[in-house]
Amino acid sequence: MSTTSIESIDDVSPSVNVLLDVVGLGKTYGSGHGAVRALDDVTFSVEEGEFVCIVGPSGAGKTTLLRCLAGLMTPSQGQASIAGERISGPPRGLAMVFQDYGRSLMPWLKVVENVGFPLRNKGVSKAERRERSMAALESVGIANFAQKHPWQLSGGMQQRVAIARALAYQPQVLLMDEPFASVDAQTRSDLEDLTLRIQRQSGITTVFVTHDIDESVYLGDRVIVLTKPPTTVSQIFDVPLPRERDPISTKELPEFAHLRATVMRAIKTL
Amino acid sequence: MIVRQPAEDSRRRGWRQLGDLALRLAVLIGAGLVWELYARAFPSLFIPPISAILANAWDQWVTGDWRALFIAPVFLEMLAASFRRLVPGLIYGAVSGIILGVALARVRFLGEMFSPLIQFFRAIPSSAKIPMFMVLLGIGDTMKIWVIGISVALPLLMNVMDGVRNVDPTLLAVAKVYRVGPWTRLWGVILPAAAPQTFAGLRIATMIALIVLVLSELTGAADGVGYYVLYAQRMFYVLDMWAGVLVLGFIGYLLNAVVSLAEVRILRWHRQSTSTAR
Amino acid sequence: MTAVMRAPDATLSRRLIQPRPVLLGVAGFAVFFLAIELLSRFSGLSEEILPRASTMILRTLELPAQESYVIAMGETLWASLVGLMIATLLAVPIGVILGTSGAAYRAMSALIEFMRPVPPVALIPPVLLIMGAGAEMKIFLVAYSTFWIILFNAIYGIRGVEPGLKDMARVFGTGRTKSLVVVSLPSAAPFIFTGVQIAATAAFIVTIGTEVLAGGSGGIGQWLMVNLNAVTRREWVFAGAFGAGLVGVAITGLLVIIGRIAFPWSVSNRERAE
Ligand SMILES: Nc1ncnc2c1ncn2[C@@H]1O[C@H](COP(=O)(O)OP(=O)(O)O)[C@@H](O)[C@H]1O
Ligand SMILES: [Mg+2]
Repeated sequence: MSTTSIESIDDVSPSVNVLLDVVGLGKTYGSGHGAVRALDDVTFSVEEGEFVCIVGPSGAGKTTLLRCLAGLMTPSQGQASIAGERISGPPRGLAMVFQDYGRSLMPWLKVVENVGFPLRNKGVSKAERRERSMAALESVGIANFAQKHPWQLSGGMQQRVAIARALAYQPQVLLMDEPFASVDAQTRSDLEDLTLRIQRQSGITTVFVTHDIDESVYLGDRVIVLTKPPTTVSQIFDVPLPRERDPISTKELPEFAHLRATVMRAIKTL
Repeated sequence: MIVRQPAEDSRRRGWRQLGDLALRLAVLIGAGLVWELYARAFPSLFIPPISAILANAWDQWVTGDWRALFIAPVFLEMLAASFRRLVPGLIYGAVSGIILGVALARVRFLGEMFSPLIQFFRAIPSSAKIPMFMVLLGIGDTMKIWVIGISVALPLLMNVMDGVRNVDPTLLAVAKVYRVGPWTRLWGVILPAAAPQTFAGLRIATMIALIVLVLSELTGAADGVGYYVLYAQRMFYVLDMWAGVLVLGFIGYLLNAVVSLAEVRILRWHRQSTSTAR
Repeated sequence: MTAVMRAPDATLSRRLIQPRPVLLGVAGFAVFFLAIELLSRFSGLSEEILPRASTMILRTLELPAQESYVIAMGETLWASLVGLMIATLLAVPIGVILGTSGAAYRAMSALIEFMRPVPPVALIPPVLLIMGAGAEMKIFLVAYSTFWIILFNAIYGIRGVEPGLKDMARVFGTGRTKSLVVVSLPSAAPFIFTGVQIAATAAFIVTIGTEVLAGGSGGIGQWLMVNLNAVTRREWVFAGAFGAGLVGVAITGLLVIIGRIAFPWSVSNRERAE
């Protein structure tokens, strides 16, 4: 992958419809003595077409939050809704890229079959499924690995497959849980730019969880900082950077450095 | 860990396989030779030389009729009688073992409730189950099929349960988030993920199935390979008896080969993904 | 292959120790035997074919007072145990030697591949002919059939020793023989023991199978057949089989406990500790 500037179709600012609304969300694991209060009271919203990054220290409940948004678990308090509808199970049109790429792909399926997996029995014809899978693989730059099995690919490649799987699903909302936490720095930078490019092209509303402050500022339109447990939203920052970003030139902008420092301070003083 | 060279020269692998085959043949012939020499050195009424056993089998079971692939009808009838019991028993046992295993693993309450009962029935030796089922079902084929089926289902079921319980939760979460239906979740995620354990269970189960078949045919039957061996023994047809034993061994070898072949084909991903560096 | 590496009932005793599943498990037995009871009462089958579940359970509880059963169980266990011991004493040293030598291993593994699928019970008729019915015959058959299982696990246990461990021993200047004793044997031992566990189950099956077929060889198998042929004592066949199952559970549990005490470093024990 090249690491040069990200092409974006245009710089239209996102529309102002709230797509994802989280109100007073709380989650406690277990009960009695062993209860763990992972999320206390989390409130924020995400607009359509927005790229929101959520940062917080390890164990802050970031994964828990995403799992609630994905309908994989029911919150103990409060609620999350998508397009005005309360989330009670996995919502239609929501895709997720999991933290542990090695375990989120089916080892018995080829790459292209993994990408097409969510489209099975969805009224999508076999031919169309294949076409959409190949197109998605094309857009993450690994179409030539379509016939391989996931375990034949490197970690970064595997995460591309996971991203392609999300894309082929053509979601409205994409949740990403520390997707690049365990790949090397160069690969990570490539994957960040890939994610940005895809988001700009498709306009998919994206919620990106990370513990890396640089990453959050570089990728996000807004950065939501979570506190330590019991977790609430500490602060929300708008990112005053142009939507078109570049790993070198964006990161040398004073706005970038400033925001990065501000977010870091916010987390330090938690 | 071993990193499999993906581009291992296929020609070299071919040679190695050929070498393995030659070794196997050599070992087989060697074992036959040991038997032959032993039988000649210590002549005994009950342990005849293998050459005599094979010659006798040839006389009985090989005909000049090429249309029947030179196989005598008596041989086919004998095999057919055994397979008429073995195959349905194996199929009923395997299918019910897999279905119950998945159900008991997915519905936790059922699993906890019936695991001890299943463990208990599994602990009853198959050979002790035969008299039990003779009370229930008499000595006919129904009894044999049932005992084989149950002896196959119980160990298989435990393995399937284990496999299904250990399906990676991330994969199940993927299936949920992408809203695949229960059918795809079962056939596309749960069963493939549990396949390695299922095959391990199937391997044990087929061996048990054959043991139970032989035992049940030795206990009460009027045809089949086991009966042939028993009859020959009673009549002191020592050569026939040993020939029957060899046929049983051959069936065991065949069954094992079929399971291995299916395993190699279906679990290629598993073998390779676990031998690739982790 | 993985099949052979697992003790079939390694999870059993672990599961029996927790309180909640025990209650549910009892409920499972209750449901099953209630179903049998109802089937026996209302299906129109005679009690000679399907005895009342209550009778079966009662008879099972009475087993310890049945002298003939206790003696038979003793005979069965004795034959299984002696056969298993002989097989272990032969198979472990042979397996260890074969496991350390490459060429012998390749030849032997081919032979094992041939011998393992052969059902040991097929040998009952010839062995009966050669040795006659009696304890020796049972012991021979048990020893023969369990020999291959233990040998297999011994060879593969030695072969499967983490190469890093052996390298480390070499780095520290440990000789070949000493390395075998200090490194290979301890790390292969749990795996070999697993083979013995599997073999114990097989020994029980083979002994009883032999007894079922060869009248005059005593043991549980013969006891079951005698009761099968006495029309008025049919329910004892179920009780006798259940009794064998309970003894089987006990043996398995005992072996699991022995394994835990003797090989605390085995992988399954380490997993449990986590
Ligand atoms: N299934 C669970 N059961 C009990 N506690 C859990 C579970 N999952 C997570 N936790 C706890 O909840 C807290 C938040 O976890 P997580 O959401 O994974 O945080 P993060 O993703 O920010 O690192 C942690 O203290 C963790 O130990
Ligand atoms: Mg996390």
